[in-house]
Amino acid sequence: MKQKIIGIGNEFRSDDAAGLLVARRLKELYPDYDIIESDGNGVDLLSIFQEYEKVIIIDAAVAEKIEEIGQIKEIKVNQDFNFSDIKIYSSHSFSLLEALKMGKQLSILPDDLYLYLIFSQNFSFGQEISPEVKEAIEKILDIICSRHF
Amino acid sequence: MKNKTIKVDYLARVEGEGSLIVNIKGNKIKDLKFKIFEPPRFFEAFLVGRHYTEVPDITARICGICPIAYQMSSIHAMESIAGIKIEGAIRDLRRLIYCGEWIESHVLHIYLLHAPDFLGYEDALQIAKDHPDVVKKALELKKIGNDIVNLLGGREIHPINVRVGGFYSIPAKSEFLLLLERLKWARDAALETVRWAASLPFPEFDFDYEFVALRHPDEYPFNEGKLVSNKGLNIDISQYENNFFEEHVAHSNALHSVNKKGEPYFVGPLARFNLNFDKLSPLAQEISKEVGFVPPITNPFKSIIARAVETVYSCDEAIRIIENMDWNTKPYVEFEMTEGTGYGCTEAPRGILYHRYKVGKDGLVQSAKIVPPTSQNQKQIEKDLYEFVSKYINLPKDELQWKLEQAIRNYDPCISCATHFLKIEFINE
Repeated sequence: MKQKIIGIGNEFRSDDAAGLLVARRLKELYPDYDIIESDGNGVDLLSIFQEYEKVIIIDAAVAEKIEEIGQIKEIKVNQDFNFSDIKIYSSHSFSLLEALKMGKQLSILPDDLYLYLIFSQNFSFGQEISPEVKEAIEKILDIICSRHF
Repeated sequence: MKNKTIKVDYLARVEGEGSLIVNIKGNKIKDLKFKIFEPPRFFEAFLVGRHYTEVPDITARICGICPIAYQMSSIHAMESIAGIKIEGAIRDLRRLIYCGEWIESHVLHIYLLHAPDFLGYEDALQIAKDHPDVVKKALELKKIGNDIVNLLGGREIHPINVRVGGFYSIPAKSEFLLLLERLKWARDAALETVRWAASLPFPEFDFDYEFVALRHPDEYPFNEGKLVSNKGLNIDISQYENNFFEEHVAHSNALHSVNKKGEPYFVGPLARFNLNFDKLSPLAQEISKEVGFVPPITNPFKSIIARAVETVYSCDEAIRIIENMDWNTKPYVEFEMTEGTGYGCTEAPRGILYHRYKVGKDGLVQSAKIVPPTSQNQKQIEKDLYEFVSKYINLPKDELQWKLEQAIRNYDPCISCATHFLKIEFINE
């Protein structure tokens, strides 16, 4: 089965780098595995969806409440995701959510598509990672290593 | 008097943040401003004090869509200071990575950003619903461009393998050969794209533009050539600042560029096509003639066809380069940096991208100037909008607004590069 792991983020926007950091750590552990870093460009994600049967995505997400910071969420996209709930807010960028919606429309989503979200509220300029998010990164590494390798 | 206001909060499908205000009183345009309110990004300032070897990687961050263009303009500027000229396989590989960037950028714009305007869709999601096979094909075509950039650029985002003097390393021959068959498929897909683009409906809108592009005696321009125009310009790139000037206008955070007469000029695929048609590959020329698309083309809405023709060319050129590559080349040439001022001007997907750097004895940058294609086109875009409203002032409000947004996208503006989302407001008194 053709598999790929994608860590999404911006390393200069604090906790937004979480996905990239997970990808880097996984690459150290599994250098031969197909693991990439991405800035979250939706069109490029679509091309990957078209090509792979299993895709695992790690990305940071905005925590609504302070107590959610550092929480993680696993979504098996084809089972748990309600596509009609995706509202396209941003018309100038085409990001992960738009890619999921278009991928569904084009029937090109991989059979196994996992989304791991790490919640935070700190997306300001900088390279400091919140302690809660650091912990979450370790947890996600454990989950991915035990379930997907 | 009847007052009418149309307000669109965000103009979709452009890169960056801007707005358009049209104020029509009676049957006359009272005011029209294409505003760019994305904050300035200060790249030229924070390059000062950085080592010249860092400049390609720093400037590449200006744009997520055309990082290669920034790398290419900066390395050529640095190499002109060092007094070296890159030839042979490394030069070819630089053209190859540029082919990749043109393919990915052009295909994205043709199918996902500009096509909805011609087909009457709000966005690409709607196209995907009605024409899934078209979108799937576009994604596959774009990916080939991405894969060329990834292979030579070293990674998926923010390529890092380009350096002054060449590349840090050259991937294995086998990896390039894997691209060949796919590129042949892509070339066929691009030919179909030209036929499709030429069949779209175009508004009547022709003007006597000054088209400006690079021109090289032996090839369709990517990295090298003289700056020429259809109005007689023929200069070395080092003379750019004696012929083109930047002016600050109150309503834009991106500087407007003008020619010596203070007039706007037009850069990008249509300018390149008009000025370099004879340098396109035979196949790209043939398909252009087949669809009746031959210079001079003076309707900016037809830029979508020029992009498609350049996609054919990029596939063709990439195939030529890979098939004729000398695989025993060293990845870079050794050189000694000296102090001085250097110039670089290369053809980004959206048009000429000018860089000038002054580097000191210590190799540190003392001053930097970067003029991206979108800021050069900005004044021309504003003029097009003015002419379009003047010509089609009686169009129904919604239709006029639709066409104006489409007219902006003719230039595939990358407002992020120029400084950056478009809010449109009509005030019809």
